[in-house]
Amino acid sequence: MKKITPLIIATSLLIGCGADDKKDFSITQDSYAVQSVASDYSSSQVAIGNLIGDRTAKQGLLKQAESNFTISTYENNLYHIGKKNIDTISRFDATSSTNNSEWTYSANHDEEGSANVYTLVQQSPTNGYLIRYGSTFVLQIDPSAILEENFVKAKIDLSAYTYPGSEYPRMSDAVIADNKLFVAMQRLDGWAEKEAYIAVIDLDTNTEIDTDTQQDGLKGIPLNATNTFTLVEHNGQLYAAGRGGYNSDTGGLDKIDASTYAVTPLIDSNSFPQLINFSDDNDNSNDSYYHVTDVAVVNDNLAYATLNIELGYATVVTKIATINPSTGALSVLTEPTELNEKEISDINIDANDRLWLGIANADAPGILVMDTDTNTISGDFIELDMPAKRIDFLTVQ
Amino acid sequence: MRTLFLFFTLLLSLNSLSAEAIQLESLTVEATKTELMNSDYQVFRRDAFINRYQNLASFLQQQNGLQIQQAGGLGNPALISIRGASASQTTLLVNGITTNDSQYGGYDLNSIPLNQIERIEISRSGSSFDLSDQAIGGTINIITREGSSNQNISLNLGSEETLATSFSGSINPNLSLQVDHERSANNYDYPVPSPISDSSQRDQDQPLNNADFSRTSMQLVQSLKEVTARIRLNKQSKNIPDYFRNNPKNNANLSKNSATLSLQGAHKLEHIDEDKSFSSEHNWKVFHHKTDEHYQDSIGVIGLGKDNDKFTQTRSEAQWQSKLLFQQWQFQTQLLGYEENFFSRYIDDDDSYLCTTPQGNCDQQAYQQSTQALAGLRWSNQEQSKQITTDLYQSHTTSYNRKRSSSTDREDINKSFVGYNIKYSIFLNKSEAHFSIKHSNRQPSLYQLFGDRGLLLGNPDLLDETSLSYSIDHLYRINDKHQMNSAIFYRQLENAIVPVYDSRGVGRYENSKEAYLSGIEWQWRYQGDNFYSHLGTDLYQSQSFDYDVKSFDKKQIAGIYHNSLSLITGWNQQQHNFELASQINGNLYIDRSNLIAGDDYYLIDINYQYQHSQLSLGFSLKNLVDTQYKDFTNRPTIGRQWIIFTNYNF
Repeated sequence: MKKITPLIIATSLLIGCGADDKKDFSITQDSYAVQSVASDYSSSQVAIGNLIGDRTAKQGLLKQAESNFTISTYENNLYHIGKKNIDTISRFDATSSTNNSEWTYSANHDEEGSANVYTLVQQSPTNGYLIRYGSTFVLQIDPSAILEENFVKAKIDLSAYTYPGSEYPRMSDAVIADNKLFVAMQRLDGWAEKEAYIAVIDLDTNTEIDTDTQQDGLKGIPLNATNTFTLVEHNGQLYAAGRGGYNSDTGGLDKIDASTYAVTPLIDSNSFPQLINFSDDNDNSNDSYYHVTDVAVVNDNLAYATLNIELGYATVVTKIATINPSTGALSVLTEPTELNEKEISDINIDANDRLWLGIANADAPGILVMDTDTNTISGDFIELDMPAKRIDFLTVQ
Repeated sequence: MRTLFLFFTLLLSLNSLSAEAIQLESLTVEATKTELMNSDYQVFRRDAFINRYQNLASFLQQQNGLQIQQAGGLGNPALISIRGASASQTTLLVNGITTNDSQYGGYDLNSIPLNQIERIEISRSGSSFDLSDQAIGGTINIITREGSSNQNISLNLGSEETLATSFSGSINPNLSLQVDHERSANNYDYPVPSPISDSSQRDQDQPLNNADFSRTSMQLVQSLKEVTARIRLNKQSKNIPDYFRNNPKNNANLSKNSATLSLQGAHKLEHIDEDKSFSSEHNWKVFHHKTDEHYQDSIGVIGLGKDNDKFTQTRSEAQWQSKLLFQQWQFQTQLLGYEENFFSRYIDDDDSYLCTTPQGNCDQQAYQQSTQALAGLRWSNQEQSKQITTDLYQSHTTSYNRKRSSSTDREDINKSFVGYNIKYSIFLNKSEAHFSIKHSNRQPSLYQLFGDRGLLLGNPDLLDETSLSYSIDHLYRINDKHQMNSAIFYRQLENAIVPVYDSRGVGRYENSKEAYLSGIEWQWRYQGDNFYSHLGTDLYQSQSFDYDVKSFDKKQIAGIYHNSLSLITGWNQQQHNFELASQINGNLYIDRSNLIAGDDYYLIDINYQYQHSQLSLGFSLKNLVDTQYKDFTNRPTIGRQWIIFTNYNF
């Protein structure tokens, strides 16, 4: 042991006794929260800032040596969700601590593979749903559960939507409307896009509603756009953004009536011909398509969608489309110029009807905020160290 | 198999000729190498590592300036970092022939059992005279055993049901055979993040399921005076554990069969007259290597889905080296050429042949060929106290790959590089110093250039990584028992090849702008009659610059421990040898954004060896105090391990 002691002393000198830099952070006013991911996917962190006024981001929160993390929010609760092969959910009361979680529970259940939770949809303080990309079940949960054994309340089976030959239906997003849970499923075959569906769950009975009793087969709502990335709800209408294939079509945007389940296509492959550059030369590496990857709705007459322009296998730029869901009118934003040549990874609408845009350009990542009544930039560019993957909002009661 | 048969025939015919072989003067350049232990160029003979270490990686781990990078247990590829360079910037040679494959740039230090190794050479600052070292970081050359007058058997037993056994012997004075087998269950306790038996018991220690590894290898060597022929056959199987859920149904497996055929020859000519004399040495090598890999994951536990994939790679290489020794001058020329083929087949994927989905499988067919010409000059003064060594080489590489989405078109790349080594050496009575400049490159692998499958696509526009290194290596012999090595170096790196992903999560390899790494390495060695000790430390400082990726700009280079300290002490008493090795490593970042600092760790290993006549016994305890830490991949490492060695010569 005498030999060891000098080495331990040397270790201290050599390595240094680093001070604990994990100072806690909490919010005092309504805020945004961002999950950001390093450009090589080797690490990730969360940033939080004020919704109005000085929006400078507090970065370096919830640092992880993996990139497979996302966030969900409910009022003042921030959920830090580990996705594929992490499968944990931690809840933080952002008004008291973003360092010490209230709880951390597993997202896996029974003898299944990695659940790969994409989002947590919360209905009330005691009821929520885990939308799990790598599973055939939605888990109904009690987010207020003190013990992990009380966390999962029920399982909702959506295995019927699994595309033949696949292992799960690939749930990607969900919303609650009209006391029903709408679960969007990509239903990919490997990486090939197939017909996407929305399953509708009656929350009183946890049973699936047959949305078209005239037809046999799956009970859910078939969508026009494939490979659903985002599902949002506004005023009884659902909006499903599907990015389509990875290099073969454009995807689209569908509007779905939450009561009648009628589907109205708002964007399809014919909507923006000026953004398609296709040559029939048997080489799709030089073909350019737009892909609808996200949607945010301000009101019945105004919505925004991201059009990811991809040339071959590379993302070139992201355009922002404006949509009048009532009339179907479409246009591509040319102003503000701050959005030019930007790669946009996520959009979201805050309580003040401002559009938040996650700028994913690796050399200058950050967030732009836009007034939707004037389509002008609101406030300063919010600088981030690494690209934002998801933007959500926290409220302080 | 046909090639193998032909080679066997050739080998046996050479054997029949051996009795009549003309007795030409053999080369003697090796004799001086073994005495040099400067940190610039080191040679370890067999007795330095045999019967004391489980494998090559565990031996090299204890050398200054080297960091072993091996994730998980036995059977996972062991890589090495030299002087802070990444593992891919290090070259592993076997008998002077590169083993880094162009497809992935990978190698495995442990693919050659220690029992088959005669000598290990390590070069850091670069030269073509001692060892052809053109790598950014450095080069390790493994010299495998040739004929032996003794027969030898060994048996090692260790933790996690590890067993290793070997036999080596001579069929006749010129024909030797070595056979090795090793296996391990690798079922060490691992903190499973989400156990499938109960997900809520996070990080519960469980014996790893489906982690078995086995390898059988054989080497047959035919040695003549001027020609050596080798056949190496290797068959291994590695089960891939589910580190996340430890699923007992997991049966993922990677099996690998490889065959290496090589012929090398040396010929020395001497011309002596009254006032002028010169001699020349001529060495040649031809080599062919084939590897077949089969990866199976029938229930899709490990990757993004089920897998049943086959990969085939072949490499053929020829080298010629001529040295002319004329008084104080040595001239050298080298010619090298190789070609490499790679094929991948995703058997259960219906459309992998179409190669149309960026994130899907793609049946590949890739090819690369390269030629290199080198000219070198070495001058020594008459007192042999000063020496200047220079190399200049040019390489030209052509590669192509099947173009995505097309079964007929292909992408081609042609590139060339001019590199050089310059070294000035001073030899005094008690010390020597080497001042070196090395300009090196690393070509992107075929995988990085053209992409294969998954979330990383190719980038045909990738440039070579290049480096310019300056180093001073110093050796001071304090007295007969004490020696001190030190080195200081500075390396500037341009166009480092790194993966970068876009907002969709689809990535490709890009060139980052530049980086530098500087360091001090120091080692004190004491060799007494019964006691020996090595104390060493490495201190590195680095910074990378990448204006295109904000979070990577002005950050420390990730994946390398920047501070390390090691102390090895040993006692020899009659037939007993006891050794205590301690190591401290720290200052590591897991990620390029430097958000996550890696664990510092402190390890103690114990080795004991007992020699009685022809019998050798020993044991080794690794990580004696069972230090729990996460390695450079941020994954928990294996805890304490033990192994018992037995070896018998007859």
